[in-house]
Amino acid sequence: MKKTLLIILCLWGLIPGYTQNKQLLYDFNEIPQSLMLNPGAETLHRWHAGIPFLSGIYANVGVSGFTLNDLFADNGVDFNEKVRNLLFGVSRNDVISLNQQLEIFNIGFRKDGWRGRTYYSFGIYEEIDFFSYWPKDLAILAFEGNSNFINSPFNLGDLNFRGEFLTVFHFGINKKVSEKFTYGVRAKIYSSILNFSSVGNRGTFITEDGQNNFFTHRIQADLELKTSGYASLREAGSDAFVSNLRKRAFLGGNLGLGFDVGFTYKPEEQWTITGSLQDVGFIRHSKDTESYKLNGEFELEGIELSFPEIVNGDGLNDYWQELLDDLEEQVPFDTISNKYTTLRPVKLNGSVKYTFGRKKPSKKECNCEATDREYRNAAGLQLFAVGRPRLPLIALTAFYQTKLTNFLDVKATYTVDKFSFRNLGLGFSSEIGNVNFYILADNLLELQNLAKSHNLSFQLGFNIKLPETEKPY
Amino acid sequence: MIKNFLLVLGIMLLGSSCVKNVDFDQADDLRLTPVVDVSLLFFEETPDRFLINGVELTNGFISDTTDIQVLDDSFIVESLIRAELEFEFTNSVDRAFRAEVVFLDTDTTPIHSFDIDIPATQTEITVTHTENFTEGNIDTITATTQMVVNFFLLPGGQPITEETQGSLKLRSKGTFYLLVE
Repeated sequence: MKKTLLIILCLWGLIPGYTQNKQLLYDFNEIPQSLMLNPGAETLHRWHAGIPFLSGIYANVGVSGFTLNDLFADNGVDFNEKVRNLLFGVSRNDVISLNQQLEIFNIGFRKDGWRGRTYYSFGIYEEIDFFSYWPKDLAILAFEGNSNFINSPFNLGDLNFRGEFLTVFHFGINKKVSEKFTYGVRAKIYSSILNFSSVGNRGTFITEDGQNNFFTHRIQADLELKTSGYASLREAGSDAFVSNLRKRAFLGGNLGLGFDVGFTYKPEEQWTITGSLQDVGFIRHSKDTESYKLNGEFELEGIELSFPEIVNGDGLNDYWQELLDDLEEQVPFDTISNKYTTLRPVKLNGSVKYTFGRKKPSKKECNCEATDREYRNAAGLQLFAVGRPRLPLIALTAFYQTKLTNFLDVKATYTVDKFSFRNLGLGFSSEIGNVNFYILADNLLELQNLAKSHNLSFQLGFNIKLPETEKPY
Repeated sequence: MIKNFLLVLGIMLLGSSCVKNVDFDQADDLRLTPVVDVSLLFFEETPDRFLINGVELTNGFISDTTDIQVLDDSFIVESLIRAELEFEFTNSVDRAFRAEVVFLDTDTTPIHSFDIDIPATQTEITVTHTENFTEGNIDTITATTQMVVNFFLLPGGQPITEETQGSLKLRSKGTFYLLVE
């Protein structure tokens, strides 16, 4: 047992990547947006309508391996010294990540009124996602040069990043099969505005002891950067891009398809198991694409002088031009316009929840609101994983959720992942009248000094929702 | 109890969040100081290069010229602060030679040169010469667009014939110190 735990912990250290882990929102079913993480979540309301542009505002920034404080702390240490420490301290599997989402609208309703077992929801949201591994060897080469690294290769595969800017049109169906089992599916159309991707790079650059000269420089490269939506931006400038943006955001650009799927299962009265997969899908980039490729192998020992016999008419050699021609021939840099397909990062969520503590008897004889659950408290574990170019990232969360007052639900989470072993999160969801307001933030221990944190995320939004009642409306 | 604790904790944390003791202006101090090692010229020649119709040339020499255009790249011109060029001659011919390295600018005007004498040997001898360019004369390097290597056979000793053994080798490298601000 201890061994297994140790192995798991060791693996954890190797697992790269940052998240988009929304551990606070997941399974927080008082918030209608929890359906966006698990289309098979329990729905506790008759209908909901997000306030346009305000129903879901989410941002997340993450860096692993270092913090802003490591670089910018006002501690008298020379800045370049700090940069150098960072260069060698950060691993090639450390990451820089940014994710932002904004719901344009989000609406849901139960078919056939309060008796209905099917809940429909749909909407549009915008998303920006950027993810890069730390290009360690390239950074060292740029900062230090090759002089201290004779005979040790620089890995060009350290260049690994991707980014996208898109809108997502979605429609979900949530079906309560029985008191024990609910499932749901959400179909998605992705409308890509801008995409760039350079994730399959391989190659090395090495300066090693030479045969005929001091050094042999050798480059082996198989590098590619794919872009869509960029070529026209570069040519037309930012003004034209903005006017183009609306068209692309609303299905006028490169399109993709995907789905979310999920379930809720209650094997026992007080136990709940849930699971979901999000963004199983792809985007086909066929319009406005431009890719850059550098592929080949080249070796250089310097310029070999041949001392031509000018008298005999050998003429002068143009060594330099020959060298450039060779390089261009053997490691050509191509700009091409190829169609390509990107997969969306798949996210997996799962949870086990135990509910307990019967609600206090109401002063009123009958408090018929169905949102008043039988149990006020819930505690459990959640698992999150997201696909990233090298290895998926995994996070484990323990949570506690409770109804603080009749109008306020709170969820607290403790998450362990690559970034932090002490990520404490807190989320509130309030119901005042029919207005639901929620705010969720994690890494609270680091809020004391934001500069010291590896990642931060927050989410907030306003919805109007009508609670479930036992009466027809 | 737990609930109240959570509430108080949440308010406390949200109320006290800030960024402490950081100075982002430090980024202005960022200096990249890469040191780059590059192989330069090399060759291996045999003594018969100094023969014409089987007879040693009087005042014989061989010469070659190459463009070095990387040094007129504006990024390098602005960033190069120091350079060391190392030339290593290995002679295993029983005759003395003189190497002359000449730097030419865009007008093919010589702007810098140096000589290295390589003594005769019956075994093998290596002569190393390092040419340093620092703040005062780094302009010489950045203005260079061509390098000429002349190789003179010095008089004296056994005349060179088809049977003369040995070779003449050059290896050279440059260590370039850049400062990018």
